[in-house]
Order: sequence, then C-alpha cells, then structure tokens
Amino acid sequence: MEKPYLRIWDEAGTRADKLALAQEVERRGFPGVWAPSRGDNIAFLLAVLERTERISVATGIAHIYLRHPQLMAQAGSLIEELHPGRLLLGLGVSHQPTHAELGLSVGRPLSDMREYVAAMRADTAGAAFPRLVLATLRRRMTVLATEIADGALWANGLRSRMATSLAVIPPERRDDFFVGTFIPTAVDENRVAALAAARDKLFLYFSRPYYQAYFEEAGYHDEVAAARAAVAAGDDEARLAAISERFIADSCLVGTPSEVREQAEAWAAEGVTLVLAPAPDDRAGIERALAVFD
Amino acid sequence: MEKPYLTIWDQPGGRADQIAFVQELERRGFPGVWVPSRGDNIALLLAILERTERIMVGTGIAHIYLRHPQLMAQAGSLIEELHPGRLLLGLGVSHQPMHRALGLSVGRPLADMREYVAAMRADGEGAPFPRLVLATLRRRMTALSGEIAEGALWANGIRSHMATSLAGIPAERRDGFFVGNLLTTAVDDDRPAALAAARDGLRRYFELPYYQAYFEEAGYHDEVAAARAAIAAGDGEALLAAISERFIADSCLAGTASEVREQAEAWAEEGVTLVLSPSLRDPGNLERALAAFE
Repeated sequence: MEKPYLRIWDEAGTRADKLALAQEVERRGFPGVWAPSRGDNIAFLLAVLERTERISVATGIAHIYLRHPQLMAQAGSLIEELHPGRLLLGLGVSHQPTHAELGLSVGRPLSDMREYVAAMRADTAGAAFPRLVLATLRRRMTVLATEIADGALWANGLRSRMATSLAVIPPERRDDFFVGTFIPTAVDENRVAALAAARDKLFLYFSRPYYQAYFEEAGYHDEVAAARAAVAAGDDEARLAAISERFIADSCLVGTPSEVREQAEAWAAEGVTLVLAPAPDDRAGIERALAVFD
Repeated sequence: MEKPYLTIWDQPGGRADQIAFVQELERRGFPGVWVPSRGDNIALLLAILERTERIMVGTGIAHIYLRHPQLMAQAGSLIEELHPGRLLLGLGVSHQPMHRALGLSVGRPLADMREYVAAMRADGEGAPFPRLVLATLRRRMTALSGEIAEGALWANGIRSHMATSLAGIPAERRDGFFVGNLLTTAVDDDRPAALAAARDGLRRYFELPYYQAYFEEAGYHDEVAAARAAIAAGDGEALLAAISERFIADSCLAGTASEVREQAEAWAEEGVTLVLSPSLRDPGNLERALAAFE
C-alpha cells in the first residue's frame, strides 16, 4: 500500500521541530508533507526542501488573497528552479470567515482564481514554474482546476462523493492530474476517543457555508441541518453531535490501525492521494498515524 | 576599512548561481547581501541563509503592498527562528509607477506603513521577530522609522544630506539603529566610463516624483529642473546630462578603486552602512567593486 503524505504546520516556536519531523518523514519513506495556509507556508516548505533530499512538499493552501500573483509566481518559480519537481503549489481562495478576520475584500472565487493563475503564468512565461493544484470542494472549481491547473485538492473530501466530483476531469487528463484530500486522522484503539477526535477536527467546517453546501450536495442534509441549528443556538455540544458516524466514516481515517488501513485502501481505490491530518500538536497521535503506514 | 554589503537580484534562471555567488562573498569576508523587491526576495534570502553560515541578509525592500501583514510577519518570524539575528527585514511602500504597473491601489505611505507594522507586530507578538528597517528618503518616513523600526534604509541617499536626515531620529534611539544606503557603484580606471555607468544607474530615479522631491530637498534644484524638462521633452540624452558630477560624487561610489575607497570612507564617517549596487552594464564592474574593498 502506498504511503500517504503528512500535513505539518508552520508554528512559531516549533519550527525546528517541524523541520525535523519532515526529515523523519523522509527517512521513513513517506512521500512528502503538505503545509496549510497558516504562516508563510511557501518559505517554510522551502526550508523543508533545503533540509531534505527527496520528499515532495505542497501548500494546502497558499492563500491567493495574501500575496500578489507576481509574488506567488516568483516564489513558485524560485522553488521549482532550486528543487525541480518537488513542489506542488496548491492555491486556494480560503473562506469568508477567514477573509473577514484578515480584513480582506475579495471578489468571486472562480473568476478571481482564473485571473490570478493567468497573472501568475504571464509573469513567469519562460521561467521555471511548479505544478499548480487548486483547492476545491464543488464542481465548478474542480472544472476550473482541469482547465488551468495540474491537480485538485480537497480538504475533508467525502469518499462517497469523489467519483461524482472526479467525473468532470477529462479522461485524457486523469493520468497526470493530481487528486488529493486532507483527511482528519485519529488512530486509537479506543474507538470512542477516535470518533471524538474526528468530531473535534470537523467541528469548524460544519460552520462554514461553503462546506455546508458541499456536505449537502453529498447527501448529508440531516447533519448540515442539525449543525446549522446548533450554530444558530450557539450550542457547541449539539454541533458536535450533528456529525454522524456515517459522515465520519466517509470523511476521516478513524479507529484502530487495521480499520484505518482498510479505510485508506478504500480511498486509494477512488484514485485519491491522502494527506494525513492528525491533530497538529499531538505528537503521539502523529506517531500513531504514521505507524499505521510504516 | 569595513567591507560593504552587496545588492543581488532574484534572477529567474540564475538562482543557483546567485546563491553560489553569495557563498563566495561569505568566503571572501563580506558582511552580507540585500535583495530588492523583485521576485519573492524573502524566499531567496531564506535559501541563502540555509546555504551559508554567517552572513547577514536584508530585503531592500520587501514591498508591503504585495503581502498581507500577517504573511510578512510570519515570514520574518520563520527566518528569525531558524536563523536568529541574520535577517534585517526592510519594508517599503515602493513608488507610484510600480503601483500602477502592479495594479495596486494604495493609501497614504506613512499611515499605511504605520498600520502595516502595527499589524505585523500584533501578529508576531511573543514569537521570534526580526529587526525591521524602513525604506525611506525624506524626513517623515525617517522619523517614523525612529518610532516603529530598528533602522532606516536609503537607496541613492545623498551623503551631504544624511546628517540632516538622521537628525529626525531621536538620539536615544541611535545606538544600535541600522542606517544603510544602497548606492550605485561603478569602479573603473577610465573615469568618464565610471561616470557614464553611474548616470545610467541613477537615471530611472530621476524619473520618480518622490526621488525628485528628495533630491530637491537635498539642494539639487538645477538637476531636478533639468531632468523634468528632459522627461517632458522625451529627451533621454538630456536626462542623463542633467545628472551633474557633483550629484554623482554625493550619491554614488564612482571612479577608480582608490577614489571609491575614499568615497566609502566619507560615507562611513556619516555613520552609514553601504550596500553596493554595482552597475551591471559592464560585467567586469561587479568584480572590480568587490576587489576595491579587499
């Protein structure tokens, strides 16, 4: 079974430890690491590349509203030039609540992304340029990824929905088109603890409108309705309870090591590359997740 | 005599060579390099730090309108954490023609810079944080640097005007406050050739309104008037001719190696750290500029 990628975080005060973890990931034969948008993840991944030999790195995501497209293009070009073929530059529009927090005024996700990628490519015509991956959930962004990028990345994608989602990728592009998902990962002999950890991870996403729409599209109407009611009532316990076991089984790697291996195999059968997302500060949880695939 | 810093550029296609060149500078005992805003200069400097042991690096400038302040703060924090004390993060507002070229809508430079640095410091609170240097020309930005940063950086500063400029920084802040200047450098035994190279390096600054105002503030009214007339007439030769020898002597290192050393000593007496920006029109100039200080 192919080993999955690991999500690692840029976090002030722990960066040397995170780089050491990436080196360990390489020694143990894992294919690479993905870094979410927090911090300057491109610079962080460059440090990872400088201190490793082989593994791939990827942004999941590089937030397009935080960098001018020329800056993004040149950052990608720099890394591609210094470490050819080792970067997947995942681009994303992020979400409304994050925009509000960061004081960003944004346009329409699809047209903004299209324009942004065009500006990046125009700025680097003729120069080294990394493979681009678009962060997506629903149909139109996935279609756009097939048009202007080299892959598509989900976070908390739903396994039962992937075949439908991927049907928009033209067959002639499937061979070299990257398809991945960040997947909440909670490996624990104690199944109740594992489910609780998965709910903790999914909690945030059930409050985000764009995720709610995606979950509904995938058939999870009851879960989303219960979550909306819980959010409106400010009832966090009810919001956690809204996340059904069926939903968790469809969107997470959760349970004992052998259960998790089986779930990962089911994802592989859908043609989806997994990026393990264990709780970021739980070193023991990260180790249990890696050990499943050693 | 202290060796000066050197300006290098992010050059697509030549990045590995640039980094190797910086390794050579380190071996030859130069204190470090500054990189202008072109490309992702922070990422380039991180790669340099990863591949050197001792030298300092600086951005001159990191363009504040191309990165969200949280991104800038975290990039600085990352580098400070991995390479403590080796980064001077030079921030600048750039110039109107560049804003237009990049499609940026900006506010007022002083207010924007004050707000940007406050946002950076708020985001980087408690984490490693690099020394900040503000790119400045005139009195008010210099005073702001004395208030909210740890240094001030000129590009094409005027030596005879430095004492006046630095008077805006409170005496109690001067200890440890970085004062630097990027200056056009043309070393040539053929003095007319050196002057021509200096004029070539200065000409685009004579086209920028904010530079014109600074040069006038420093007393170069005739030069600026002649440059404005030449620009209005579209006369490139007249623009070059507007740049007097007196101006070049006051703003550049230009002439024979021994002349350049004398000029550099005069700058050192003003308490200004020099960043050589060698004219690249003559490929031999860069090596002659370095050799002048060995």
